[in-house]
Amino acid sequence: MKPAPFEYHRPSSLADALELLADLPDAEPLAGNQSLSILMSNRLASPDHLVDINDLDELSYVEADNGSVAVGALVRHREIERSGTLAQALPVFPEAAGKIAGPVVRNRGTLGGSLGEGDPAGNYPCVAAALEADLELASAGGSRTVSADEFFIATMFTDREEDELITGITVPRDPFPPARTGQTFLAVKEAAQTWPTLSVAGAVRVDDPEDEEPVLEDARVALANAAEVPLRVPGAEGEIEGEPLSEAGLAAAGETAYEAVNPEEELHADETYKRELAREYTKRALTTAHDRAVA
Amino acid sequence: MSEADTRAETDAEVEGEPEPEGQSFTGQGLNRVEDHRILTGRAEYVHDISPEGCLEMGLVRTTRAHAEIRDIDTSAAEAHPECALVLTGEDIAAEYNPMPCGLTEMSEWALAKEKVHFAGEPVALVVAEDRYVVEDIVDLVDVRYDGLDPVVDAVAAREDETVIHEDVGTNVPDSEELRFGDPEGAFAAADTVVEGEYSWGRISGVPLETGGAVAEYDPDADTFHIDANMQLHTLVDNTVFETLGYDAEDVRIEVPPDVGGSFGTKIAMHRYMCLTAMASQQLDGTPVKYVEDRVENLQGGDMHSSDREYTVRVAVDDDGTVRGFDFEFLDDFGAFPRYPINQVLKPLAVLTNGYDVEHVRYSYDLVLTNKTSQTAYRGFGVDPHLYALEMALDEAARELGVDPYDFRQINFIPPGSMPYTLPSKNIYDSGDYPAALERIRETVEEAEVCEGGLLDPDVVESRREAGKYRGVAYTLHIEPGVSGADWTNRQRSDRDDLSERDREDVAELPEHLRAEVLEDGTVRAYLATDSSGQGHQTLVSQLLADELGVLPSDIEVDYLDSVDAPTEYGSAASRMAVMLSGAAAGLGDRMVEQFERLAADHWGVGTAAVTYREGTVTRQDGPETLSLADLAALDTDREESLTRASYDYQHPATELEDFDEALARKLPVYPTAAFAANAPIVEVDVATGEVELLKFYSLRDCGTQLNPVIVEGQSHGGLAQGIGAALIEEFGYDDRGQPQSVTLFDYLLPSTTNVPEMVLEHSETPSPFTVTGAKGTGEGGMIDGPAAIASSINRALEPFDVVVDEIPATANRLRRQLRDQGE
Repeated sequence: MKPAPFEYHRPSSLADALELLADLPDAEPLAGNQSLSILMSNRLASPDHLVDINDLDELSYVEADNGSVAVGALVRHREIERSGTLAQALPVFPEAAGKIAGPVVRNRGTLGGSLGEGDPAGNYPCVAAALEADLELASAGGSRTVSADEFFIATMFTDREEDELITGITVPRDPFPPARTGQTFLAVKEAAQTWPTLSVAGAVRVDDPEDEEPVLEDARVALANAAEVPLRVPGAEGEIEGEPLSEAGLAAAGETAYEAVNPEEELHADETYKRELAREYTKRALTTAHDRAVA
Repeated sequence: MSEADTRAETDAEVEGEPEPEGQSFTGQGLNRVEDHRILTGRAEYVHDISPEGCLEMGLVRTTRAHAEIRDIDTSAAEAHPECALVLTGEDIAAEYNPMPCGLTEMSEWALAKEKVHFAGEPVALVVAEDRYVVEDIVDLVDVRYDGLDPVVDAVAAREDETVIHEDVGTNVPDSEELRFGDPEGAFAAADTVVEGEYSWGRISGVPLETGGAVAEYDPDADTFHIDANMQLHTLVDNTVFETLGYDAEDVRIEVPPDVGGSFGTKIAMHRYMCLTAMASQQLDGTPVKYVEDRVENLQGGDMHSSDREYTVRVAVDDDGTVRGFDFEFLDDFGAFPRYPINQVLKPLAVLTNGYDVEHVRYSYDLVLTNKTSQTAYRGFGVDPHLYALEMALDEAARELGVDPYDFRQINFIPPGSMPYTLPSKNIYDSGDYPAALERIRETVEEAEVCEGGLLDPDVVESRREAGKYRGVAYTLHIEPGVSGADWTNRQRSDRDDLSERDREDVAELPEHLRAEVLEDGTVRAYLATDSSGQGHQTLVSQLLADELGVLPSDIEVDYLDSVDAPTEYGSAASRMAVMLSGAAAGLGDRMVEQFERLAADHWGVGTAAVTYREGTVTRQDGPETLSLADLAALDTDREESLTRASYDYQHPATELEDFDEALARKLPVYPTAAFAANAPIVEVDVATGEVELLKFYSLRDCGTQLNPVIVEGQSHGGLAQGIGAALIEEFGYDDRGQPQSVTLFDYLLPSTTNVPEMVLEHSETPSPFTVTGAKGTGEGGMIDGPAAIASSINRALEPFDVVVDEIPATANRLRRQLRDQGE
C-alpha cells in the first residue's frame, strides 16, 4: 500500500489549476482525497502528477436564488450536511451527505470529488440524477455545462475530459417548491464504513398539501449501485404521477424499479436481492417523500 | 444477580475458601497497567522497531489462484539502482527448508516454488531502503504462469477432479469418524430424527495491527534475532528455526510487550519471520523489516479461519428428550493446513454444549482448496459447532412443537451431575445451566416484555404490521478453557493405537513464571508467554502482589524471549487466567520460602524462627527485620540466589485422575467450562432481510473473576466479534478463486452502528479444578454470540418457518430463505 512516485502541485487559483491540467500529461485533480489515495496506494491508479485544488476558495460556495441552487465542487460533505440553505431548498442533499461514511470522511470529502469519481454507488450522483442537476466543467479552453444524465457514462467513467475540472453543480428550483415538496435519501448498508448495497433518492411534489388526497404532480426516483450509472427510473415515477398516492401506484412503481435495474452482483447481494431492494426502497422513498410533502 | 447469590447457588463442595474482603488485589477491577502507555501513544509495536541500517522487505504476491510458475524474471528488479536483494522460491529452496505444516505429510515453501496455490501467495521477496522503493521494485519482477483450474468449492473439491497437492494425492488429506456411546442405537430408538444443513462462512480475526517482523542475522555467532508480533512464540517457534535449518537456541524470537491484537491469527506468522531472517542472512546481517499492509493481511496473511458445511441430525423423543446427535462436516482449510486437526476436534471439548446427551457421532473431512490458509481464531472451531448444534435444536423444537426454551431446559445437564463427563471424555467443572437460562429469561421478561420494553406485546404486534419481526431466544453456551498441549499433536500419532495408549505417555506443558527482587526491593516478574492485549501484566501484578503481600505497583512484569523461556503453550484457548493463577501461587510460595531461608541464614537461626509477611522478614525472637531491598542486598554475593525463583505450574488436568482417559486417548482436554446465557433481541425487516440488533442481554460466568474490568472488556470485544461473525464478516471468494474481501470496505467489521447496547451480568461459579476458581474467558462472545443471534432470528422468523442456515446471516441470505418460504 505505497503509491508509485508522483509530482505534487498546489495551484492557488482556478486558472492556474486549469493551466496545469492542460499542460501536464497524466495528471489527476486532488480534492478531499478520500478515494484517490486508496487507489494510488494499491497502485490501481498511478498518475504522474497530482493537482491539489484545496486552495481554490472560489469553488467553495453554496448559493440559492429563486431559480436555482448552486454548489461549488470544493464544498465538503460536512458543509452540505449542515447547510441551512440546502436544508431549506433541497433537503435531499444534506440527507445524502450525512449518509456518506463517517465524520472523518465527511470533513474532507467534496462534492466534486464524489461526482468526478463516477461511482454508481455514490450518494451525490444519485441525487444529481434525481434532481436533474447540471454539472459545470471548466478547462483552460473554456467552460461547459453537462446534465447529470449525460455526465455519468459507466462505472468510474464520466464525460469529464482529462484537462477539465468540475467546478460545481446547479439544480433548478422550479420543480421543488419547499412548501409542496418532500425529498428523501435512503441507503441500505451492511456497515457504516462501506458502500451502500443500494440507495435511493426520492422527491415528490403535490398540488396541494392541505388536500385530503393531494395529487402527485412530479415524482423523482433515482437508484445508486443498481446499474453502471446512477439510475433514474422515469417509469416508476410515471406510475404514481397525476393521481393521489395509492398502494397500487406504489406497488407498480416498485415493480418498475425491480425490472429497470441492472445490478452488479456483490459478495452479499446477488441480482435478485438487489432487485428486491430496488422495489422495496423505491416504494419507501416515494412514501417518505410524499409524507414529507404533505406534512 | 450478585456474586453472593451465585455462590450460594453453587454446589457447596466446589466452593473455595473465600478471601477476606478488601485484603486481596486479585478479584478487584484494577485499571490495566498496560493501558496508560497504549492510550498515550507510548506503546512500542513491532512497526516501531528499526535497528540502525534496517532495510525493508516487500513481497511479490501472485494474483493467480492456481497456476504453475513457468518463469520468474528478476533481472529488471535487480537492475534497479536501489535494489538490495531479490529472492525467489528456487533461491530459498537451495539453502533453507520448507515450512512445517499442520499435517506431517505436507510442507510449504515460504515463497511459492513451481506452482502457486492461492491468490496472494508470495512468489518473491524484494529488499531495499524503504517500502516505497521496495514496491517500485516489486512491480519490476515479471512472473509468467501456466494457469490451472482453481479448486474453490470445498464440497466439489472432495471429488479430486483437480488435485492441488499432487504429492499428497487428494484434496482431503484427513478425515476421521468418532463414535461416543451408541449413536446408531440412539437414532434407531428415537421417536423422531431431525436433520438440517448449516453453513459457516470464512470468518476470522482482523487485528488492528497487521503482522510484522524485524530480523537480524549475526554472522559471527551464526544466530538470528527476530522481533515479531507473533502469538505462541515458545510453542510454535519450530516453524521458524526448522525452516531456517537451525537449532532452537540459535533463533531468538522476541515479541514486543504490546501487540495490537491477534485473536489466534498471529500464531501463523512464520512466513514473514523466516523470510526476513533469510533476507538478513543473505545480506550478511543487515537487519530486514517487513510489516503487512491491510490488503496483504486480508487476502494472503495466512489468517482466515473456520469455513464449514455441516449436516446435523438430532435423535429426539416425543417428550423432548434428545437421545443422540450426529455431526458431519467439512472444513475448507485453504491451500495449506496450519492447525487443522486441533481446530476440527476442539468442539469435542463441548460436544453436546450444555446438554446431557450420551450418544454422539462426529465426523469430518478436512478439505484443501485454492484459498488463503486458515489459522486459529478466537473460538478455534467451537463457534461453528455451537451454531450448527443450536440451529438443529431450534429445528427439532419446531418439529416437536415444543417451546425452544423448554426444549433446552429439558435436556440441560443437571447441576447435581457436576463435574460432568462428556461422551467425548472432557469434563465440565461446574455450573448450573438451568438456573442461568432461567435467570436471563427472567431478566429480559422483567425489563423488556412490558410496557415501554422492546418486547412489549403491543409494540411487537405493531412492528409486525410494518413488516418488522422482533424476537429473542434464550441459549446457553459453554466456553472450554485451558487446553492441554499433549492432545494437540494428535495428527502426529497413529490414531488407531490411541485407544491402547498409556496415561504415562502423556506429556503436558506447564506454565513457567519467574521473578526476582531488584535492588530497590521491587519485584520483576517474567512471563514466558506473549501477550496481544489481554492484560497479563496487570493480572500477574495482582496475583503476585497477593502472594508476596506487596502492592501491584511494586511488581513489574516483563517478558522472556523464545530462547530464555522454556517451551510452553502460551496465550491461547482461554488459558492464562488459570495457568497464571497457578504459576503465581507456586512462585509466591517458593519465593516466601526462599526469603525466610535467606533471612534465617543471615541471622543464623532456623527457618522456623523467621516469618515473612508483607514485604518484610521478621525475626521472632528479636526486633530485627529485613525488607525486600535488604534481602536483595544480602543475596548479591551468594552462590545460590534466594531472591530469584521460577515455578512451573502443571496443567490442572494432569493432577486429576478423571481426565486420564481423555489425556491418554488424545481427546481434547479443557478442564474449565465457562458459560454464557444469552438473549439478544433482534428485529428483522422481512422485506429486505436486514437485521437490527436492538439489545444484547448476557449472563456470563467465567468462574472467579481475577479482574472484573478485564472480564468485562473480554466480553465486550468477544461479543462484538460474535456480532460481526453472525451478521456481516466474511472472506468471500468468487468461482475463479479470487478473494472478494481484500479491504475493510468488503471484510466488514462491526462498529457502533452494528453493536447494540449490551446488558451484561457476571456471575461466579468457581472451578473446583483451578487454584483461584478462575475458568478463563479469552474466547467468550465470539464462541457464543453467533449461535445466540441466529437463534433469536429464528424466533423472530418463526411465522415464516425460517431457521438460519448460513453464517454470517446477511440480509440477502435471510431474504433468500424468506423468499423460498413464499414471503
